[in-house]
Amino acid sequence: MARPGPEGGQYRPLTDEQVREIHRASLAVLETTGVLVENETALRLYREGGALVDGHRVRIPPAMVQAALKTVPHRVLLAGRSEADDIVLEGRRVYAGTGGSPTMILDAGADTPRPGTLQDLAMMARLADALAHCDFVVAPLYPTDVPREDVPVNRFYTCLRNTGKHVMGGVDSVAGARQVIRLGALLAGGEDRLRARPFISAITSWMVSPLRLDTEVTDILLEWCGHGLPVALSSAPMAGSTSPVTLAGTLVQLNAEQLSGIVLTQLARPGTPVLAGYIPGVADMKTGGYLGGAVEFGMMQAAAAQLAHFYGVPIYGSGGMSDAKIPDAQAGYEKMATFLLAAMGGCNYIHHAIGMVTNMSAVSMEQAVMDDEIVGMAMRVLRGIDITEETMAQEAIGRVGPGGHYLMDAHTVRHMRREFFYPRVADRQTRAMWEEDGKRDARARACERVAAVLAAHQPPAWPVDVDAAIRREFRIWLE
Amino acid sequence: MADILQKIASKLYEGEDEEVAELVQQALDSGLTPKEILQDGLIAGMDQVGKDFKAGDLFVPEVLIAARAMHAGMNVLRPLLAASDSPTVGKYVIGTVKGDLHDIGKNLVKMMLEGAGFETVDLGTDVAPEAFVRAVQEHKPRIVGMSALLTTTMVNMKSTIDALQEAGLRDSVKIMVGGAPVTAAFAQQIGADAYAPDAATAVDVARKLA
Repeated sequence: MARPGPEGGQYRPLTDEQVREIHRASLAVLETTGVLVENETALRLYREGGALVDGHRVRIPPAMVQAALKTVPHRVLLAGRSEADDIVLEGRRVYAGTGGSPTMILDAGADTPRPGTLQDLAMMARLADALAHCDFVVAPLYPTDVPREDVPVNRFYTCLRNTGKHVMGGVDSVAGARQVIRLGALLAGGEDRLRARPFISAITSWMVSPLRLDTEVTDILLEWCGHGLPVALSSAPMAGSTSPVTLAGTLVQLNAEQLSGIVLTQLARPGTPVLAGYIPGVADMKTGGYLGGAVEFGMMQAAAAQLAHFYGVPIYGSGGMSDAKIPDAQAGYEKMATFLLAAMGGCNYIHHAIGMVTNMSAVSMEQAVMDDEIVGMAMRVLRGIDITEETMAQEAIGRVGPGGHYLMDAHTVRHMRREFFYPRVADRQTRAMWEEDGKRDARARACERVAAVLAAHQPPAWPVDVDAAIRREFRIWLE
Repeated sequence: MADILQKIASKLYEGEDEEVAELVQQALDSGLTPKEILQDGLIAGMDQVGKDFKAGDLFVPEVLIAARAMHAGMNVLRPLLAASDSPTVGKYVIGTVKGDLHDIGKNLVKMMLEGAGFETVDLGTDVAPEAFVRAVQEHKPRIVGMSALLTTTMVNMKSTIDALQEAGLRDSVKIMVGGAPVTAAFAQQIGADAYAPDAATAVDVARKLA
């Protein structure tokens, strides 16, 4: 049994006809403007696949896109170490998890972040393992106390050791990709078994918007595709600077970028499981800086989900970022807005949802605990209003009658636990009790909950014999 | 022997009122004393309910149906209990003050008090000061509880306290007030003895006053 993954799709900012208009415009961009490819392997693949190659400019005809969409899987399994933690990306199912590769961590109650360590990553992964609404773990921190060349394998090792949930992350280099796959194969008992139940996957930010492939990351992408393991394409333009300022224009360009990537992966290895990674950011017109908490981000993310649904390709997206510097009120409302819109848009795999502060630049454990609650509320929305004879409660209404009350009715007891979302951090006491408890705000309460969760939670058992084999092969920095 | 007491406690916890009443009768038939059944069956079950409610594992409706089951068991036991064994911690007169028809909060407090062993006298809603006075004269309670939901009716709490004062009954009872607009400061200002912000706290406060 996989994790639930309730259905989104209630929020549809585009009509079906508008989805087709954007699709046609993206195809036209690929055919007339094309993409810039300096990676020789990719250039060869595109040329052999039928693209018009002029120097480094690759123009992709619609037929190539159609062909790629025929082989790309519509359903992608991202396995947990046990089946209970599997997530199945398909249709409009929605999952949420951690994200980003910040190098900084904000300590409990602090207002200034510090460089993060491998030990911080271990704690963060363990917390993510414990949080009920966290479906997967995108390596939530980039450790600064590990030699650069050892980071990829140590990051995956540290996450896997501390969570049974699916682990995804960047792998830095082709060598890093090979090491991480080898690590996965050791744990799975062979690469075939890893392919059958891939509990690791890679993010490749192969696209530098607008429309230019990153040569090195494209090598990583092609290496990963060669193993047939799931990969998230990621392009993250900013409306107004690296994509058109209009939401529609950003969607057209971002969609073209994603289609060019899907084409490349299917040329490299037809049937490669791909997550189309639409990350539609916004440029701050006042400074040129990046905005992750903009409400338009959430709107575009939902529109991007509609495009992915149109193609039948699972979508990797973002929701729950904020431009706030600490877990404050701004963080709360920006996170809820962007996450809820992405979730109600039916975005399959929403990363950045749990633990990020100041967009992708830092992680915070108390923020993670609060975000878990935001995700829980949004997932409750997706579950919707159940309408049945039983839930419409005519019988109970008759039984209680005018002037009575429902508190002791069997119908109440039968439904009260499932019908409502029960928060763990939100304060619902009376003012007097809240005052007596020390007048603590949400952040202070969340800090307390982090400590309680970490004290109580143990991740799934770790195989000792395999650990020895891993340590023989790699320099593992985690104790 | 101990099995049936445990069963009474666990059926009470589950709120099975009819089963609790039957089990209490069976326990009596098997020779257990009313006091044993009360202490190690009913009260043991209710204590567990209280603990789990405080920990957040049980919700209000579950406490209420457990209290109802406690009541069902008590109805079987009461005629047989010696006065000294009675769990009644005291009589409690309760009502929503004049001009106010809101009663869910008042009912909740009443049911929780009964679960805790109080004998309650419910005067209902829109209860005039004179009606409170008459009830105190008739029932001689330890505590009088007043509820109001409206800022426009909470002033009638003061009128009621004044009426009890005039009737020379003020010092014979403790007075508790509660309801959405009521605060501890207001309670003090009108001369009440105590305030509780919710039904569960009301029980704790009442226990202290009684």
